[in-house]
Amino acid sequence: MIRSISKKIILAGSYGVGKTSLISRFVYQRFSFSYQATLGVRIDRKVVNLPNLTLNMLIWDIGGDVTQAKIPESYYLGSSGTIYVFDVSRPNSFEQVGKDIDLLKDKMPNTPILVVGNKADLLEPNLLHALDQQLPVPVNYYTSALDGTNVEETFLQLAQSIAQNA
Amino acid sequence: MSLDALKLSYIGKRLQVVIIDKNGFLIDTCNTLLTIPATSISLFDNIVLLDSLRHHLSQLKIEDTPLFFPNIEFIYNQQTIVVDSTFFVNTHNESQIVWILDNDPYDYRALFNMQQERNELAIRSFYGHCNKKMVENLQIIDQANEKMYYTLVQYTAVQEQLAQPIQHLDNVIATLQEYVGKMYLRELIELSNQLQTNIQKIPAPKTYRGEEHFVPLLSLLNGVSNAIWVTPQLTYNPIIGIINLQESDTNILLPEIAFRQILYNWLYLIVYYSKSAHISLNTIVGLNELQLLCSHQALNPAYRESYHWQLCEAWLNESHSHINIDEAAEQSCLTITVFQTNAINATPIATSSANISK
Repeated sequence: MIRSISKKIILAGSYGVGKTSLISRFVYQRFSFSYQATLGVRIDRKVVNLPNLTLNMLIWDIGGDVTQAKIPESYYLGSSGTIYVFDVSRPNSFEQVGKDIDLLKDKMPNTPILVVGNKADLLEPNLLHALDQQLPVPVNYYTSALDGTNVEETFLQLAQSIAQNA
Repeated sequence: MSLDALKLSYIGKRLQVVIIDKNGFLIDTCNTLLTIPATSISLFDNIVLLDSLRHHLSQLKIEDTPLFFPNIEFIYNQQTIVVDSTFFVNTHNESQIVWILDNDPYDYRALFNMQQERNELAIRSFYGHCNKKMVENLQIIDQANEKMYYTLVQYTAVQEQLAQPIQHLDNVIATLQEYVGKMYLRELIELSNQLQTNIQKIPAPKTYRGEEHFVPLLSLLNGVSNAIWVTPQLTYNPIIGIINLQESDTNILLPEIAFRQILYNWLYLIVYYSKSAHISLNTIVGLNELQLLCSHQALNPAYRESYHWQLCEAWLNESHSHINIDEAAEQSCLTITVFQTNAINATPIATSSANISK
């Protein structure tokens, strides 16, 4: 019998990096060019079928701010995993990546955190490689919500990590 | 605390109170914002917000600080809801959880607009800065391109100028190759070499002195004296006189034209520079020599023997002839070596004379 569980995950990161767009691509398979800020949190649900496990992902899309320190602590409550998103074309969106990851690990110990560079379609591969060498933390995926590159892979990776801990 | 009591404490706000048990089953609600029917299904399975918090809500204690979640947006019954949510344990019944949903659309809209504006401004300013830098870089690139364009134009002009002579050279080379290929050039070179060889075989040229034949001396002297007589410079100078020659039938073998010029120049200079009114000319003819003696008076100092050499140097040298001027004796002598004087009727030495009077 396949077990079914619900797990909360959060998407964190600076404003305008494409967190909502990644969720729209993953959950609804759509993309919008218009930018609409997320106020507070938007919660979506996506059922992911894993071997011997059905994971009901409760995705908390946290409205972005320049640093995670400004995010209300209650938003992190009960999270089983995090996707930290930055914009590869906007340096000020990953200037705080090191500190933010440390903060998230402090808030949510023993939970998986994936670092994702979104809007990869805006950079040439060589520039993307150069950026990867400069970042203080390893990047798990370079994604594009526009064309869907690595979006599915990112969420599935996190789902598998959560399933291993469950 | 009952639902009504809870509502009273939040009077003035647009809110909904939901009371559930620790398994998420509905106990009571006012349905102000959401219509939540009493069903046999746990709200934990129905409402995504509660599902996310089910573990913490089930373990919530009365002494715990209320959990506050501002601005939570979720979908319930295909309707998007935005609420501030507060969870705490009912102080009068620890098995119950109170969920207060607070919604102020005006505040929410104002807050959303502020955040949207702030984020867009920040993003635009960043991309604006990038655009400004990009524009500056493009201007630099444009300037560099312009310089490069003018350099290329100059190079093209120089190349064209260089290409034209090279094309001409190419044509010349092609022509030469064509001639070499057809053996024309070799034949021309061989012909040229042959001509040079032939030219070297030709003996060196001698000075041409005119045709040599026997000349009657008397008529020759008469001709010269007449020529001097009609020379305008001498008549104006004023030379008035005549040349009287004794008759002689002597014939001399010599180049007539050259001899006539020598004789004329010699006499002309003497007459021109002499102040005497009478000049006499005597001829002495030998076998190979003709001697002309000219008597004159008061030869002008400006007269120089070298004048004669300037006039007839080449001929005199070759013919071993010479001119002597004896100023003291007031006599000039022109001795001419001739090839032959053995005219048929000539005497070994004959004397002729001519008088030129001023």
